[in-house]
Amino acid sequence: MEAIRLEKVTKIYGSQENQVLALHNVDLSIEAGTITSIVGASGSGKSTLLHIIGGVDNPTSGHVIIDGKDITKFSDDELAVFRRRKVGFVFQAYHLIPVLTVEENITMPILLDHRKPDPEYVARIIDLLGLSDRKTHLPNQLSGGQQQRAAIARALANKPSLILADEPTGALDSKNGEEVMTLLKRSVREFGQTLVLITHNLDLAREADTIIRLSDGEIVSID
Amino acid sequence: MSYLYLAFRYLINGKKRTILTILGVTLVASLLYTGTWAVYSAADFTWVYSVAIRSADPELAADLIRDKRVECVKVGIYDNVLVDSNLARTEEEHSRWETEPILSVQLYRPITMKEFAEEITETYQVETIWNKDLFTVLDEEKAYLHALSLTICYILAVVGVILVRNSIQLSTMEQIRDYGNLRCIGATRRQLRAIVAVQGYAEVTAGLILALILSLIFTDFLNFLLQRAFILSTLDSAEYIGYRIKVLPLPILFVSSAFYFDLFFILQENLKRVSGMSAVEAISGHYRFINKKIKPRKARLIRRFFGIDGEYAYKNLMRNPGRVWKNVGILSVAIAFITSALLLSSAHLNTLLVYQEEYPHYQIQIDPTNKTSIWKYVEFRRLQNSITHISDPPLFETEAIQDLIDHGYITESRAMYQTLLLTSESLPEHLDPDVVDEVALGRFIKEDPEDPCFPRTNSWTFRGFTEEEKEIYRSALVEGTMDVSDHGIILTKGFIYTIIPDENDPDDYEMKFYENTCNMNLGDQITLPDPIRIEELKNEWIDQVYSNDETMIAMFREAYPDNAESDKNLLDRKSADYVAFQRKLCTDQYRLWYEEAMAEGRSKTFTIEGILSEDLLYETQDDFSLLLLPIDRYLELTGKDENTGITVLNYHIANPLLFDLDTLVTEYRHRSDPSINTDYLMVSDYTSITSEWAHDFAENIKTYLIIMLVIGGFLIVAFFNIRNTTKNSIYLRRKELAQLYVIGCTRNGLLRMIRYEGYVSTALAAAIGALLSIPSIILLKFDLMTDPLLGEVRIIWWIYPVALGIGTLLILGFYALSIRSISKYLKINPAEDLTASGE
Repeated sequence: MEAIRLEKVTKIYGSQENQVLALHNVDLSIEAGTITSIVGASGSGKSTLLHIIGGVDNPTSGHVIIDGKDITKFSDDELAVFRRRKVGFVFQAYHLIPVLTVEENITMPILLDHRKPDPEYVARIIDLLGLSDRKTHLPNQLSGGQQQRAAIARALANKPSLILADEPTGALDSKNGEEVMTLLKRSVREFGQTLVLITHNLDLAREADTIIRLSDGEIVSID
Repeated sequence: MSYLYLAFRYLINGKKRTILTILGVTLVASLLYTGTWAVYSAADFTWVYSVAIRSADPELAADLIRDKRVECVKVGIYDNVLVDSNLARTEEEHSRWETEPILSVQLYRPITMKEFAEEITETYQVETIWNKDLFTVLDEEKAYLHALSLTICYILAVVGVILVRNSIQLSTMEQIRDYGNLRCIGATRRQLRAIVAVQGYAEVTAGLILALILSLIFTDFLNFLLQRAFILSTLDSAEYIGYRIKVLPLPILFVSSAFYFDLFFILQENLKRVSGMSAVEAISGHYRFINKKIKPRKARLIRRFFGIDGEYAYKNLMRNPGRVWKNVGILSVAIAFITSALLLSSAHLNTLLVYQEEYPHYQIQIDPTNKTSIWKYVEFRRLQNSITHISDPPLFETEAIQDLIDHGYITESRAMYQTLLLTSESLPEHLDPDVVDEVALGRFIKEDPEDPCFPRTNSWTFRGFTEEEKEIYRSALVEGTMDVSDHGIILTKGFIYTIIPDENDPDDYEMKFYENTCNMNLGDQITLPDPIRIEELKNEWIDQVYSNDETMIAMFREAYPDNAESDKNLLDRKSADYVAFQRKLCTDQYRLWYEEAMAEGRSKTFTIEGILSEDLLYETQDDFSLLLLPIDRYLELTGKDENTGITVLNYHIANPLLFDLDTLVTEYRHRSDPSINTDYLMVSDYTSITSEWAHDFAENIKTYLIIMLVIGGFLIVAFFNIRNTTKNSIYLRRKELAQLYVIGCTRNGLLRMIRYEGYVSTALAAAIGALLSIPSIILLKFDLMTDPLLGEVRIIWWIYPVALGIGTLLILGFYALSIRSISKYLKINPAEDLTASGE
């Protein structure tokens, strides 16, 4: 089943003489429940592509269809609801809310959705990601790997169908990177989610079901 | 649980700033509450003022009671309700209305009494009087004080807004990346706005609640100070002394609404920024909080003098001139306030110190058997002891004296044994010829020809002295001895003055001073009648006169043919047993009683064996001459014992501050003729002028007290603002600072650049502050107050530059403290800060 489809997606930043073409006529289809790696040089458009898939950014033209719905036609509020229900983000810099504990960070997307967190489910995620003894800690009391695991847990909190990870191991050493990647893969397998990740690490990329190579805003190969 | 708890987590996490913001709001709002209460209380404190209607018509009274503007109506004799109602007190009205039955009307809104009185006069064709003192207090002279208070309130409000604005903006900036993250994980713009708004509203609400508590404390404290300053307020009929700041609900509503209203707009500004930011911008750190184009500027001169640090500071300041001027504006007002406050305070202090010597002490002498005999004496030493002020003060109750003692105003109190003996013929050769003529004619020289109640110059005051007092008097002994024989007496040698009416024009007073009219020397003899006998004759005569109303009226009419009082009034006065009225009746009889006592041989001759310096005269009534003799012989002479013989309680009142004048001196009256030549002032003119001046002085002291408190608050708020602005500035430029750090600038170098910015702002603020403080000097010099007796307020001019310097140094100190307290924000982490968002 197709989880993500991009049709002729183009993204241009700036205007007139300062225009930058970030993506150009990108067509893409990703099956549900798979792991997809996006690789490419800096400035090739990887992050832009990820942002557009996650509804964080809008394409200049083209369509982004997630679970059969064209999110480019969503209003701002609809996009916000889409993000919190359908998408889980994992960033290289973790982007946890520093004033909240690990557990509070994890439950925040649920609260934003005006729902009560399911304590069992939250405990399961925390347990799965090895954060049981760290759930009352603030982000700055955690190591990089632990913070990234908390970010993954937050991404999983709303049981989204799509996990988007932007260089999730970029700020970690190789040991922690591997550990985080293993956990991330295990989680998406366990919950049947679709994972799209950006990475510079080719070894990591190879572990994916599909590898998409980008160059100058265009897809050059899909393996 | 709701996502909004994140707002509270932000508040708790940034608790230092949260507390400072709440404290700032608390301080500003509490000053605003107190200030507005003070302003509105000033218009409201007049509730006891009444309108008097010259009528006792029951139908009119019934109409008035039904009037919704009227709180209550009393019926009474004008003279009786005068003190309670604090009505107009012109001499003319007083004499015409004195014994008239009137309706005294208390209005809910006394401020409307003039209109009310005019309406009643027009409708019912009756005379009315409304209290003019109310408008004396509220007149234009005082309006500027209220305007000043209101201006300060407005400035504080602006400062409060800026404080809240800075705090919220800083919070928003610090949290901006989090908002980006929240956007990514699905927060809507409305949710983000709610998180920001809840923080602002929580801080302001907490601040306003605390402000209410603090302002109640402020108000209590100020009321305590005001009460302390006007310790005798409850004893005086003049209600301006009874001023109290009242807690009023409407100002609370106004101030709170103003804060929420301001907050609403402040939040709009920040919410727009938060919701206008895209998630990509926020998380990537490329969001520009303030989109301003930076213009290239040349600063060669600054670089030459202050180096690259100075140049950077200048360029950075000029990057956002609006912010700089806003900052400089606040600082300059702060400097102007400090300068003005120091200048005004020093001028007042200096004036107090100078006048302290010229108004050294006051005395109250009270005859415990007769309240109407209370006298008060103020000596004007500057006039070379040539005039002593005598006037009728308000009646002091025993409790009031106790109150004075409790508050440390009274430094000495003692019972005095004193009586007054009349001598018209015993010593004519020692008196001024003019006075002798008057006395020989059997007339007493009167202070007021219309009110011949009090005999004056041709009398002697006898006083008995105890062993303790003897030692006090000994220090003033000029010649002779204090240890007098059985027939000996001590004379206090001095001057006598009197006022003699011009026969052609009874209203034209001519003041004459009879220096050293008592040309008496050691060994001179004085023959005085027995005071016991005089008292007996007086009582017999009073009984005889009072036994028959017609006789009394006939005698009064014969003695005072010009008096227009009705028979009923005279009988009322008789039944009220007025001592003054008795004296009025008795005046011309004293001479006869004197002669009768002498003829009966009820007299005694004394020899002057000691003479005291006239320095003692400040505690005597100067139109009486004072004779002293030991207490046992005094009691023997007057036929009284130690308990019943006390005729006067003498109190020395220390004058720690000049505004005591206002609390102790007589009722406040306007000076009748401001252009009067001070060389020939009447006693009553001195009274008026001094009272008026003292009243103004006290009013100003009261106002300055409030202003000083406000200034204190203002400075604290200014400190918060400097701190916030500097922190704000560092935060906005942390990427840039990180770049400087990476290319080799040390942390101290960064601090120095920021300090230079503070110096430039302070220098500009000092220049503007110097200009802004000039109006206070003008006020002080020309308008604020003048002293008609002694000249203007003594300004210490060198204080001006010193005060300006102190103000500037204070602000620089605040900068140093601010920078010190926020230097931790300059712990640059290049890896993190180089990707930071900001300007």
